[in-house]
Amino acid sequence: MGQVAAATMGEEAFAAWVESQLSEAGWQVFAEVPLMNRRIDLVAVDPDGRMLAIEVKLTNWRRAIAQAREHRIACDGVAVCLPRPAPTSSMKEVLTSEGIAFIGMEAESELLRMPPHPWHGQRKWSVAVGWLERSLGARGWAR
Amino acid sequence: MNDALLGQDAIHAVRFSVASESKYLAEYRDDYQLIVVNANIVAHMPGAVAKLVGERTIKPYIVDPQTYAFQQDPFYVCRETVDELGRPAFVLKKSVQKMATGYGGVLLDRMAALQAVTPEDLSDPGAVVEVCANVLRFQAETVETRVRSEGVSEYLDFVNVNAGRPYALVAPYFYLEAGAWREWLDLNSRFLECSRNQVDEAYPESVLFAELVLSADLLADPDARDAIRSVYAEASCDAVLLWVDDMSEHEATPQVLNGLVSLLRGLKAADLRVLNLYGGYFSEVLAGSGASNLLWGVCHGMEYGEDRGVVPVGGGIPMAKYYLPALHRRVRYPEAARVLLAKGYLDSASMFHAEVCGCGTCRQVLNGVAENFGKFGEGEPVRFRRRGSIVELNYPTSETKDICLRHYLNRKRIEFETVRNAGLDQIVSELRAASSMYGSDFGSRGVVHLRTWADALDAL
Repeated sequence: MGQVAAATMGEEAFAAWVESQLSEAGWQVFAEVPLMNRRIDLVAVDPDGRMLAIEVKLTNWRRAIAQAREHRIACDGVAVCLPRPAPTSSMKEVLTSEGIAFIGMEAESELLRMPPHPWHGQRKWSVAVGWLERSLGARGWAR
Repeated sequence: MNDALLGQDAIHAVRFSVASESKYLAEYRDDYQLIVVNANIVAHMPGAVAKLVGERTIKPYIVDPQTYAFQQDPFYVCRETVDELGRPAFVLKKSVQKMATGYGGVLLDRMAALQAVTPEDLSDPGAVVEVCANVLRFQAETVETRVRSEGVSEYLDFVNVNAGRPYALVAPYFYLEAGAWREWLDLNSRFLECSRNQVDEAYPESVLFAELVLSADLLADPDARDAIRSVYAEASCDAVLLWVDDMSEHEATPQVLNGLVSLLRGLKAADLRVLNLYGGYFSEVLAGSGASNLLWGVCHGMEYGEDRGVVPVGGGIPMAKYYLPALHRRVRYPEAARVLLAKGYLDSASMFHAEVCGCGTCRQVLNGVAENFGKFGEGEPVRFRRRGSIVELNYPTSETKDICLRHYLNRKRIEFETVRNAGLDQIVSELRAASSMYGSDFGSRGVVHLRTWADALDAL
C-alpha cells in the first residue's frame, strides 16, 4: 500500500492494514480500545507483554499526537502512524519532546517502518494501566 | 425578604435544569442564595420546581422568561419526528410548546406557525402590554399555584417566604444581535417600561428585573454600550440579568473582557445591580469586594453552564471532567490525570490535597490513597452506532458523575468565599502563579485565560 493508496482507501482501511501488518510481525493487536474518555486506534502487545498505543492518521498528525499523549500514562509506549516514510522536522520535534514514537511506511517496499525502541520509559499510572487491561481483557487478552 | 437579597454582595446563584439536580440543590442549599430556572423548565415540570423551591430548598428563585427564543429560527426549538405518512417533520419541543401556551398572544401565534417574532409584530402598544402581562403572570403564578396545591404554602407563610412566588419578576426581552440591535433594544425598552407599570399595579410586593442578552461583539462597541446602558439605567428596574451570547470566559479575548468590564462600570454607575447568568471565576471575582462588586452576582449550572449560546448546540458524548481548582476550569479527565501524575501530585493523598484540592469530596474519595483519584475518571463501556458502524467508548459511571459534580460544587463555594474575602492583588497573583505552574503542562492555550483574566483585573 502506497501513500496515495492509503489516502484513497481512507483512514479506517489504512488502520486495518496497519493492524494486519503488525499481526504478521508477531504483535497481538486490538483495535479501537476504550481508555478513559477515548478510544485508542490500535493497542499492540509484544511478546513480553509491553503495550504500545498507536494513533493512526492519514494526515492530521497534530491531532494524532494530542490523542497519543493522553495514552502515555497507561502504556509502555505510544506512537502515531502515518502513511509516509518519515516525520517532517516540525513533527519530529514535537514527537521527541512528547516521548512519542513514529511508525511510517517504507517508500519502496510499502511495509511498516517500526521504530526499534517505541517505549517511552516514563512513569505509568497503575490506575490507568488497570483500565487498559480491563478493556483488553474484554477483548480476550490475558497477561 | 426581597430587600435582604438585594442588599447582599457576590450573590451565588445556581441554575436548575433537570429533575435529577434537585438532590444536589437541596444538599448544597447553604452554599448559594438564589435559584434560576428557565421558563421552559417551569412550563415542563412545574411540580418539580414547586417541590424544589417550596419544600426541598426553601430558597428564593427567579424565572428566566426566555422570550428571546421566539425571536430565533423556530428550527432551533423543534425536534425531529415523522408525520402520518412517515416523512421527516419538525414539531416544537414539548417544553417550548408549553411555555408558548403559557404566554399566549402573538408569541404563541408565531410559534404555533413555526415562525419567528419580528419587531413589527410588536409595533402595536397593545401587543406589548399583552406580552408583558402574560409573561409576568406566567412567572408569578405557575409555580405558586403548584406550591399551594402541594400543601406546603402554610409552612412557607409561617417562615415568611412568599409561598411559591419568584423572588423577582423578569421583564420580557429579546436578544441584541450585532448589526440588528437598535430595533430590539427599543422593544426591550418598551417591555421594561410596560413591565414596571404592570408590576407596580398587579404585583406591588415584587421587584422587577431586566434581562440583557447580547452578542459579545457589542461589548467592544462603545456606542452600543452607551445606548444599552442608557436604556437600562432609565428602566427603574431593581437588577439586570446579563447573558453574553456564547461568551466563555476561558476563551474570551482581552477586548471582550475589557468591554464587559466597561459595560458593567456603566451599569454600576447607574446604580444597577447586575447578575451574570452564565459566568465562571472571572465573573465571580468581578462580584467580589476586591473588584468593587462590579457584578451583583453570578449564576452557573450543575458543572456546566458557565457559558451558553443563544442558539443551542448538541450535547456531545458524556465525558468525565475534573474541575482543576488552580485553573478554575473543568479539564478532561485523561488530561488532568496525565498532568497531575507528571507533577508528582498523585504520589500521595496528602500531596494531592496540598497541591490540587482538599475539599470534602476529594478527601472522602481518596480516603488516604492517591490511586483513588481514578474514581473521578471511572467509566463503563457503552456501544453505540456512529457513522454506520458500532463503536465502544467508556462513559462516566453514575458515581463518577456524582463525585465530579460534588467536587465542582465544593470548589464553587470556596471560590465565592475567596472573592468575598480576598483582596484583588492576592487573587491576581494566584492567577499568575497558576499560569506559570501549569503552563508547560497544558501549553499556552490551556492557561492563557488565567493571564487574560489577571491582566483585565489588574486594569480595574
